[in-house]
Amino acid sequence: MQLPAWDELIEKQLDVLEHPLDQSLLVVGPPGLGKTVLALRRAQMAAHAGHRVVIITYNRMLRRLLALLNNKEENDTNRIRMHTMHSYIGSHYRRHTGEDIPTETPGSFEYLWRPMLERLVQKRSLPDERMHLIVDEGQDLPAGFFRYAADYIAPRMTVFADEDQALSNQQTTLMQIKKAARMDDPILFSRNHRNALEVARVAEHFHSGRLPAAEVQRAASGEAPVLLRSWNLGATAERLSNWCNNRGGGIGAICNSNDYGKRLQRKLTELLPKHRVNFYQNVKRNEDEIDVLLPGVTILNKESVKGQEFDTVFLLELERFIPCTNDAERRAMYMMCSRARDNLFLVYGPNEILPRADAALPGQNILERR
Amino acid sequence: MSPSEQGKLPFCNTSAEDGDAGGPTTKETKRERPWLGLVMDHRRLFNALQDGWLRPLPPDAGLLVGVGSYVGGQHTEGNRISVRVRLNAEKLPNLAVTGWRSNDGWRPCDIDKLTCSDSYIHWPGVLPTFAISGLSVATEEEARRLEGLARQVSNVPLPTKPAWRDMEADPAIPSPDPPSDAETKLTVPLGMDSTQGAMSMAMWAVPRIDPWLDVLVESFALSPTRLQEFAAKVEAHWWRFPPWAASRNGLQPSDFQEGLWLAAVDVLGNQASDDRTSPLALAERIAGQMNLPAFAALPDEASVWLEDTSRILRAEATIRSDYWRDCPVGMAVQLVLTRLEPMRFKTWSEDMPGLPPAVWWSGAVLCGLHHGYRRLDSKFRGPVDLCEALSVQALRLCAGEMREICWPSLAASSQLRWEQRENGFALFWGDREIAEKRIHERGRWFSANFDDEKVRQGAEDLARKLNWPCLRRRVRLSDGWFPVSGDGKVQARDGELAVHGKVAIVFPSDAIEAGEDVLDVESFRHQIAVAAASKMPEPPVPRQADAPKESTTSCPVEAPGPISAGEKINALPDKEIHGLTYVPDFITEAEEKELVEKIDGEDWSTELQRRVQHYGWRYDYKARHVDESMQLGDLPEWVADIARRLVERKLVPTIPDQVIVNEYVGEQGISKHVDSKQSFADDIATLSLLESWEMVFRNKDKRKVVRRLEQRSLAIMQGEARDQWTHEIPQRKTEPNEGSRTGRWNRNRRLSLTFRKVLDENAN
Repeated sequence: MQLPAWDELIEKQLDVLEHPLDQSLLVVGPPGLGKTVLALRRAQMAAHAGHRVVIITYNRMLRRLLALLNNKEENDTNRIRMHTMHSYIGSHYRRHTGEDIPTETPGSFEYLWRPMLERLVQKRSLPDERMHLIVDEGQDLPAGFFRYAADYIAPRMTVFADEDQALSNQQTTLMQIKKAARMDDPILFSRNHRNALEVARVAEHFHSGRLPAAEVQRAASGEAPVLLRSWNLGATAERLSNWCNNRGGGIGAICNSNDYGKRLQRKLTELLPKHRVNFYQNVKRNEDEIDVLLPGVTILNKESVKGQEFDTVFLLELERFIPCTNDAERRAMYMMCSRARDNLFLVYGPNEILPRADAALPGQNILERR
Repeated sequence: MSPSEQGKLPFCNTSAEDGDAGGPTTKETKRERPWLGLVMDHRRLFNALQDGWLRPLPPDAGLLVGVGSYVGGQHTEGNRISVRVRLNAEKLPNLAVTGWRSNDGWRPCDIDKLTCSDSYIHWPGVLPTFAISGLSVATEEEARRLEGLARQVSNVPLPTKPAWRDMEADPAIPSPDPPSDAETKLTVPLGMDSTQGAMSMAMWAVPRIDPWLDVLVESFALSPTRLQEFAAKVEAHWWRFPPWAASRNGLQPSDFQEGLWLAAVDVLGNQASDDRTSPLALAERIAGQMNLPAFAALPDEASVWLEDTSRILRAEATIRSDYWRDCPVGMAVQLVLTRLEPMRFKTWSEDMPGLPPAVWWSGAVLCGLHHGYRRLDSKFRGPVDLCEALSVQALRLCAGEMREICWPSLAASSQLRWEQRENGFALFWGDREIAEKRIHERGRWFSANFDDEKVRQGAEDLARKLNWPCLRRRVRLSDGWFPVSGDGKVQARDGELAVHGKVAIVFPSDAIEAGEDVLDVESFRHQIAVAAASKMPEPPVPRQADAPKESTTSCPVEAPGPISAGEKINALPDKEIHGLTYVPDFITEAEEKELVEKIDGEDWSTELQRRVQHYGWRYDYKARHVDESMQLGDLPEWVADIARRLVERKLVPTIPDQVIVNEYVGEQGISKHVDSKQSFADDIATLSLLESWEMVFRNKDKRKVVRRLEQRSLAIMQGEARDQWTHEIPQRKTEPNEGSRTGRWNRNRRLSLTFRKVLDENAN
């Protein structure tokens, strides 16, 4: 992942970076505004100003990405720490009350926020004045967390949230975050600057959120996303390896089943002896081995691709993702397509795609059929 | 604050603060110009820094600049930072400007004749940002925010560290009304961004070998005949048309390569930077251009190239790694089209290491031409003096009418030239040095001393290995007359045997003594300059007659490292572990970066869980020893350099000749051990890179001592530390925060270089 050129930063990104560090900030927008990187930048600037910074992030792969990015910077990284919400709240609550977090059922993650807050009132806990809490993907966290954080963890908080990307049904709405953390109106991003115009058009085809679809900021690349039929895994792997050899950069291959991912990895490792080919499945938790910042191929599934971005995305096993029958499926398609910065391939096969599914795809003028 | 402190006088005293007046200035002969100042918000400053020019708003308005004071807006919007920018007037061109004096009002004056009685001037056009000598803001927080913002973008190098001052003590003058009749004299011409992009990439990517430096320098001089000769020498004849040449001087492309090159320069250089055309469409335009009569190309060749390139761009095929043999320019253009971003282009050197220099350099320059300077990453821009020279030169080349403008620090009559340096070369504009670069293996081979037997032998081996046609068969004949038959003629004269036509000569078998291969030095150096070769060893270091005793080891002491040997070393003996010495910051950040890049460019051995690289000797982990058969050869120069420094700084008595690079990722560690005493001498030195991890030492009394090995530090184990204590890197995911009992951070990657001396018993 590279630093952007000055020209490439959009007004809203500058608004975030130029925001006084002593004030809380809520940033909301569709995928493609580079919230992950922005969160890290804000963290570094806060650390530079002497704050103790904790970044709360849900996705382990994302934490890894942040750790890598962080590592390349020179200063101020010692004061930045990263936790998942569960690990941070767990130890914070224990530190302040000496007790474990009360839950709905023993061992579950359904925290009983109200009794927790009451207990902290009894204990007269106060937030750490020097602390700056930065929350990535805030929509995935329960509203109770934001009240807890605002009252007992940090006097200032920067929250990045996104309403369209959530995969689960437990997402927190913007209003809830704003109310719980007592924040001012958010900086609202309505522009998408990750995706080239052509990629964004395909992604938006699946858009179904409550916020308006992101107005595309990047110019056209001239290369339309392509719908490809592949006769077998070998042909798919060859196309991927050609792309990797010719264009280089970071390539994400998203598949539906881990079995397919494993076979693809085996084949690609053979075809690309000099390149990195990694497979990330949530269950295996092997993210520490993956250097997603290096050029090469990263194979992921629908869950693990969240929060990532690649120069080129190959969305494989397309027939397993479409036609979309509900909003969650459409959101997933939107999220997966919008992982691509410059180039996007939708790959199906060997069987002909169902007419019903094909009708649900963007037309030839947006998605090139080869 | 007294009135005299606030008054005008102190501002005339310029150079002490600016301190960077270009070129030699003598106070007697040349009057110093007062500094110039203006105020702007940081966004405007950043806009200016990215393309090198501060532009007036609107474009033909000119800029109002304070003389020894700051002129400009008092109000900034929102969270923007108001920055006071100070300019060194010595760096500005000699232009007639309009100056304001309180008594006289606006009146014409010369920039080099400004005095303290001028309050401000109207600058007729754009101002170069290389003239910026100081930045100041109101508070420390703003200074940090400004620096922080600059660090978050790739293409805005802050010219100086921003200072913070009480603005009340240093008031700015509100913008006065500009003179009514000002005309614009200095503008940024169209196409300049592209030209400067190409020039910057040419500087960054130039093959660091003498004949290529000649081509580079001549391409700036724009003298067609010499350039043609130099370009032909390196088998890149199309370089007689440098992309920045304003005109082709009536020259026509002589073959397909030159035609394709000119078509690519036309198409890639005439792109507005925000108008992104797909690579495929660019390929089509280039091929289309070839059909124009001026290119005199065979249409077939262009269409074959286009078809080939289209298949590659659609990922139906890959670039043929030997395509340069048939079509070097075609391959260079393919490289560019598949990776239009310079950052991405850079990786070609790793992805296709067998590229000949001509193809890679031509590709890099076309890439810069297409990408332009404005968005170019600071990495590719080079040092500030180089940027200055290229800005001015690009301006001269792109705008004929501004060619006559005189830039006192970069005379138009001067030319780019290069000079050899120890381990590298320097670029000059006239007498002014504008950049210095290190040379690599190829450059060292090219300038190696071939009179030295070791060098000659090494070159022969290399030529044989790479199959280069530079070995000649030497046959010795003794007395005799040998019958010649055939149509041809044989003549012997001037130390040569000349054969015309075909002949057959019959030698009695006892007349020929055994022949041997001899190196043809000139053709070897030619191959070094032009051939495709992935990896090249370092040339051997010639033995020196009076070398010190240590030189019996594989790397003799000679050139000191980049840091002079006289520099103070901060070697700290450990209080608990006798024989452990710790040197924080043994290398600089830049050196660390260079080392890591070097290491990452080499092959790793994966025989262990962690990845390792061996230099000098291989260590057998199972048998735990080294022996003669395991000698890999001399240490490569980049390692030997540090090995030498260890001795020069008296940290170890003899030059280490074995180095292991260990890579530790995440939870990887190394269990407790003592380095083999049979194999290695008493001194073990470990250099830590990338991250600061802890090392645990234990002795027989079960004492455990933990030491943090900081990034860039050196730890030397001698005596007790070496054989009475074990050492280990714990296997764990995190490291504790420095100086804190709580809090840990996630490990990512640490590299260590362990320097050891193999004992002579093994080495014999």
